[in-house]
Amino acid sequence: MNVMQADHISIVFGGLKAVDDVTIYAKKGELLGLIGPNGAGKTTIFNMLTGVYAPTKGSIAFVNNSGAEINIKGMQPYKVSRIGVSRTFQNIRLFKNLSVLDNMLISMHKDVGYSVFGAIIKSGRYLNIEKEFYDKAIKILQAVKLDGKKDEYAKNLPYGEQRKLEIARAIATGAEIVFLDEPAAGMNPSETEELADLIQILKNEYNLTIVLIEHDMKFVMKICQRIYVLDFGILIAEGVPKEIKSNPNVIKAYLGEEIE
Amino acid sequence: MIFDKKTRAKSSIKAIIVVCIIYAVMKILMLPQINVINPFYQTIVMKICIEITLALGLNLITGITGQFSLGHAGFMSVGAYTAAYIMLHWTVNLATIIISALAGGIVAGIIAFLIGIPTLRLRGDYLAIATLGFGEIIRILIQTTDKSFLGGAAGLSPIPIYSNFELVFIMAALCYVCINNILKSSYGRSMVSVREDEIASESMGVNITNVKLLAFVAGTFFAGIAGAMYSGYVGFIQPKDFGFMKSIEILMIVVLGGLGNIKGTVAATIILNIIGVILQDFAEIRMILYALLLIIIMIMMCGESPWIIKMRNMLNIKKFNFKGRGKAGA
Repeated sequence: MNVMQADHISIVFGGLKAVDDVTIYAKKGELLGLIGPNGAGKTTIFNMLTGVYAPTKGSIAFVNNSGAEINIKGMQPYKVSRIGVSRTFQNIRLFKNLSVLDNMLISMHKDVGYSVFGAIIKSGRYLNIEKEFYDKAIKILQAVKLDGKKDEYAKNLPYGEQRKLEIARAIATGAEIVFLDEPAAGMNPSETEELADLIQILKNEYNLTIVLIEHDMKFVMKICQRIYVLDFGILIAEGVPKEIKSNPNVIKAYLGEEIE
Repeated sequence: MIFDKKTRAKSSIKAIIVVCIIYAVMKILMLPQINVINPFYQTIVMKICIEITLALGLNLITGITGQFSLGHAGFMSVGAYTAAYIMLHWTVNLATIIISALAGGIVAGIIAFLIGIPTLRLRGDYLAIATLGFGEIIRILIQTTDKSFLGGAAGLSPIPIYSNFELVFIMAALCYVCINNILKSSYGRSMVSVREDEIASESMGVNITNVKLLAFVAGTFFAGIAGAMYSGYVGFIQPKDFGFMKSIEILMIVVLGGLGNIKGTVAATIILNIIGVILQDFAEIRMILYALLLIIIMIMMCGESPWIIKMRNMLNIKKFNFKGRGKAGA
């Protein structure tokens, strides 16, 4: 079953065609990779899939847990997030001046079941829901081994942990499909390896479908089940890691070609 | 964090006791036999309570949600005129006082809602200018209305003097509790998230337009109530009381107390008013001294923590480091 289906999407910024007629899909529980040289349009695709940009042409649909297909055309990002789509950002966008725990709790705000008045008088509902949020947040923080730092400011975490927190925060929204924009950027090889394991664990534990953008080929080849390759906004290859490695188009895009 | 009813009861009782103690101390100091707070100082105490309510409301909008508003005095005037109008036509008793104060808050809130829908899409400086413009529109509208309706430029009087220490104190305390509790809820967290990073909070499913509107309406609701109490405190209101400078004055309190810091707001209101009282003997150079003090406080602030804490640390630590900002602000 496809949980995400983007058909023939294109986007034009002024005179620049940033993404041209790209069709990608994701099956339930898949771990997809989206690779390509800088400026290929990977992040732009993420932005379209999460509702930040509206594609000039084409359609994007998600299938939620109950099996209903939802077209995200014209939806604002917060509405897209509410169908179970979440993301991280290339340049970390945590709420820096908030604690790690608060960062997690904010992504559950959409499920808040008490009114403002209930918050003021601290109603029974307020207590129950806050407890539920807290437990859920702690559980995810434990999975990424950040529960010991729940009261620290997000800005005071080391870089690698900020990345992890961003992933945890994306999962806390209750998402079924998570887009990770360069999760291993700026990490050293051992951290990258640890992250690869972590992503696998989280994916299995929370039944996630994951799509990630990454430049670290070793990382991508290791964990991705299927890979899309973009170059100048055009999809040039699709397939399992082995096929991608030997695909002449991909080699050309990354290394250039010999002049005869 | 509070999750069970027992801790909730404990913290509520604690809050009630604190409020009662502050009230009792103030009341004892006001006794004619003791006379520490004489009738003149009593008016200052009431002014402080009204300003605390105003500043807390603005802190919710500007400090916590990060929406720079310069029209707070405009909303205050809406509340003041609504309440004054009601009180001029009704007899004064506790019920009508409460009704007029609530009406002042609600009318201000409704206007904020209508204004907020288009203007809260703007960011930073643009929002500041839009709200500034709105404040001026209200002032000029009231100025040019028929004299028999809202008094026009000459002002509205005589409004019965119904505000007393109890009323303004309860108002300020309730306002503090409301904003404190909102801050500790998911709504408060979503407001801070909008201040921190709109794009990220939208991606996490927070409807930022709703959150901004909520903060704006709640903040102006308190401004309206404070305005209502103000009209019953001075007995005579005129449009020029609610000009641009009044908004700036409130903003100054919020900034000095620390953006998003509600305890700091209360402390800053008290301290600024005390400074005002101390400086009243220096008629001409008063504004210069006031401005100088502000500059000094701003320099000492130099960091994320409220300047009160900074000052305390400063007194403990012998050497004051002007680069105290640290490396955390990456």
